[in-house]
Amino acid sequence: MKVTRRDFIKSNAIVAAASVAGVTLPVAKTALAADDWEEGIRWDKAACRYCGTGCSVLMGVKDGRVVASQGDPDAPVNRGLNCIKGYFLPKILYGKDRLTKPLLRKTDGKYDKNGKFEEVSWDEAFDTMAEKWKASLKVSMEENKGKPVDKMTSRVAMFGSGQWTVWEGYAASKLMKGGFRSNNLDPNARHCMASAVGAFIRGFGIDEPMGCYDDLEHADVFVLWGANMAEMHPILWSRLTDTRLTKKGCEVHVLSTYEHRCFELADNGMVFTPQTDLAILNYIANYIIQNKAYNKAFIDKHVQFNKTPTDIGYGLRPEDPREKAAKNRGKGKLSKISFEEYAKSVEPYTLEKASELSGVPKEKLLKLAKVYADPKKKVSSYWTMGFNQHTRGVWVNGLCYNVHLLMGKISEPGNSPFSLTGQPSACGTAREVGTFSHRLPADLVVKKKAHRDFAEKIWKLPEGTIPGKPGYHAVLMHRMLKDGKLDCYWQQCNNNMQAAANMNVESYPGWRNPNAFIIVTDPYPTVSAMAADLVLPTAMWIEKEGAYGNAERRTQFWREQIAAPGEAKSDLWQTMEFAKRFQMEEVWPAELLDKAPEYKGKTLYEVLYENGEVNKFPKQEVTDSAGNVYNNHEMEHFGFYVQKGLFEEYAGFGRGHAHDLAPYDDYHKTRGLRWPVVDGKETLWRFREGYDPYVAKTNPDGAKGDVFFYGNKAKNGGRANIITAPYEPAAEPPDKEYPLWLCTGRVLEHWHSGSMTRRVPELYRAVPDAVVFMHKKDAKKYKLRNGRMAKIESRRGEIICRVDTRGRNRPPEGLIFVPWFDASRLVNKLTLDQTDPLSKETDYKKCAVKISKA
Amino acid sequence: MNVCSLIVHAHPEQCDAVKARLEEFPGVEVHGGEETGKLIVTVEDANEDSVADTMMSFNAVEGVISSILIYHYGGDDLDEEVIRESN
Repeated sequence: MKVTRRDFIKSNAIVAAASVAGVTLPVAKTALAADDWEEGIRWDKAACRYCGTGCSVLMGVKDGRVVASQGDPDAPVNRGLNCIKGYFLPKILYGKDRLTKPLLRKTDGKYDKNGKFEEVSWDEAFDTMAEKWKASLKVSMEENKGKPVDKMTSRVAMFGSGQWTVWEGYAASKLMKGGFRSNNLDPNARHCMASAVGAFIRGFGIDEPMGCYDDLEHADVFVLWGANMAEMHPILWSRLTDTRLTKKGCEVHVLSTYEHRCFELADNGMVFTPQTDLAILNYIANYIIQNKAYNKAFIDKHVQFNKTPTDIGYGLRPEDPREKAAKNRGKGKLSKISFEEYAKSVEPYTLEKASELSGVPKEKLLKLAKVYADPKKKVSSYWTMGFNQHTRGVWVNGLCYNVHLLMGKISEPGNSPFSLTGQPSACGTAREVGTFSHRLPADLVVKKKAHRDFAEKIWKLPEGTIPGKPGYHAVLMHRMLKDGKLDCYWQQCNNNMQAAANMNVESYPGWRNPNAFIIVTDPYPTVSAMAADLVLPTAMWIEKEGAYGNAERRTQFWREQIAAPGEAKSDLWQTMEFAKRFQMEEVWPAELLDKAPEYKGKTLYEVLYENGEVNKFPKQEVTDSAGNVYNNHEMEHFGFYVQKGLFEEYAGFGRGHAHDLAPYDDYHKTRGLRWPVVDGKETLWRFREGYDPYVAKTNPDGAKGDVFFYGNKAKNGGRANIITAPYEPAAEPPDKEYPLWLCTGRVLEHWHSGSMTRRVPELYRAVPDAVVFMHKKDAKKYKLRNGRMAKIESRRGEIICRVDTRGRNRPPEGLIFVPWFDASRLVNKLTLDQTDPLSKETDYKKCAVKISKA
Repeated sequence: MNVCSLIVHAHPEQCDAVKARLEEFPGVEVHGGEETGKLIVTVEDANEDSVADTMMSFNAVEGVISSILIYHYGGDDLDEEVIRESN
């Protein structure tokens, strides 16, 4: 009998699936499985390029090309599983229109903002770019003359990413905050995680979840708040499904503003009116108090009650009438209250009121409240953009912690309020490295002098280098470009022209402002790239050595697997190489340079990256345990182990401060480790003795197994903050003229703006265009039919797309859902640039639209 | 040329029906796992690039709770090369 390669591979594929599932199959199915067919394929691990779950995948490389991929059986996150997008991971590297040369807008051989893109050399690209930056830096230095460091502003900005590798974010943070002395550095994670961060800092004094994915097997009850895990976190959904199907009495509660695929598994599915999650959570708290179900011992010892200013506006431009009407615009200072005052504040949220506001039947709300209030049931709550992209995002995150804290259901296996992450390194890079306009690494902030001092010491920069005023956040950057207060804007590793809200009124006019010079670093000609003035081609994902940090605090590394095409260079290479173009005299005023005379005549590159720390580790061969050798183009180019040097310097911020990272080389040997990593041991549940070594360290007299919220030790003696906040209406509810809510989001097949996944033919075919999901009664009402085209209009713009009344998302009457991946149907022409005034994160889930036949 | 394997979750009591629905797709075989609600499924090309389309259709199949990819091979040498003779 002739056996083909196909037979072997199929047999291997069956064995792989059966062993992951724990299913035993007849020998005939598996007999051919063997290793010898794999001849010539080199397998190595990598963290998946897509979402914040942080699956590990095995990449099979042959002759310099990725030919095979497999869920990593040794990975604790995904245990050999892989979502359907994982199939396409290799293909995102090989889109036909990969950029391989820098492109500059030119007319008659010269840069011209209104010119056409022409291929240029890296030298010409950087020369043009540096000239623009130097001019802007000069203006900024003039404007900052005589100003104290905490009043400084800057005309240059960088817009980074939660998809940056850890060292790319760190190198950029150094360049902007330490080098160019500009806090105008923000990541696209502002659009997705800023509200979660705000709530962690307010509630616990330290960022990121206390629990971990192990809760998915420990919990008795799962509650999804504004998270469509089935489509957005399929691997976690699969683990949750496994628990639901195998654990007796396990329940799944799903809350959303429309029905989606998670409702198929839901024991209690609830569709609520947008914004009323605030009321539902306050009702649950009220139910717990009214029934005296709360954990009094826990509250007495571990909780402080607070209130926060209300009527805080919607983060719109200050002249907007809604901002003028707000009594406490942007305010968030907490004030302490008693338990009784707290109880009184939630008292109005009765079952009747919550049901009336939310539209959810009373029995469903009661069922939900009961599982939280049952001390015997372990509850894990999960949320993503439904909570975060919310004009009261920090509040609503906090209201969920309130419920868990009232019951003491926190920081132990199965009892876990868990903020899921959208991007692969929103935690690892954006949050931990602190690439936000107000932050520094390891939860430090630019506002505090002691924090700046600490950063300057590690960076070997003179005192007073880092500006003390927070820079422009994501939304403000576009407004400032439009207003002419920001001149240079460098976007790396994301697609903000497509992603930012209110494209017609803010983003596009900002980018195309004649005064602005816009640089986009990307592997593909995205909507952003096409709206830029200079496009720089980049090496993506496994074309460079990388590290991501996922939603459960797990830091994961990968080696460079293949070379980038053409002249594409990694974001890291670009950031560091660009720094070579600046003499210190061109970026710092004389009085600062006088404090560090040894830096006179040096380049920014030398000061930041050849500082004796970043360049500490010499060039070496990168190998795995099997002896395979890997390239590292950055090490080759700069002459030292760049990634290791940056990582080790960065880790100095967090080690000993409850953000401990393991030594660099350890991560290449593991499937990731969850920080804090102390004495080589990772931490699964934080704030509880026995799991988290920092509890005994910060609270030596505490009882065994007790919790201690050490992030708040200095503030209130180590208590978590319950913060009461009321229901307040959305910024732009539907009215007579615009009678429908518009909610935007993702679909399974496409990652974010689709710049990678839309280049995979199969994914494109599966979901080629964004459709408008709507209720069939609404379709009838507006004279539309399934499959026909419709025009959707808001106060800011219009788009046309096909109506879908029978699809995977089933909105209630009065709400439509349009995904945002589609570059030819830009839903952000419709959205409003409203933000949570505290976190500055945009609310993409609620604005008013009308719809008609196209 | 593609070969993939997946685990498809379904309520155990519906597994036989789900198996039958899945096997209606060209290139799809279900190899076991009905008892535990975790079907072991392979998908092979029937036409150019159809593996992906088929896998993505699984989510819309009645009774499917989730489908998870485990393994993918995408080389172009599947049928040409004879690895070894066996009897």
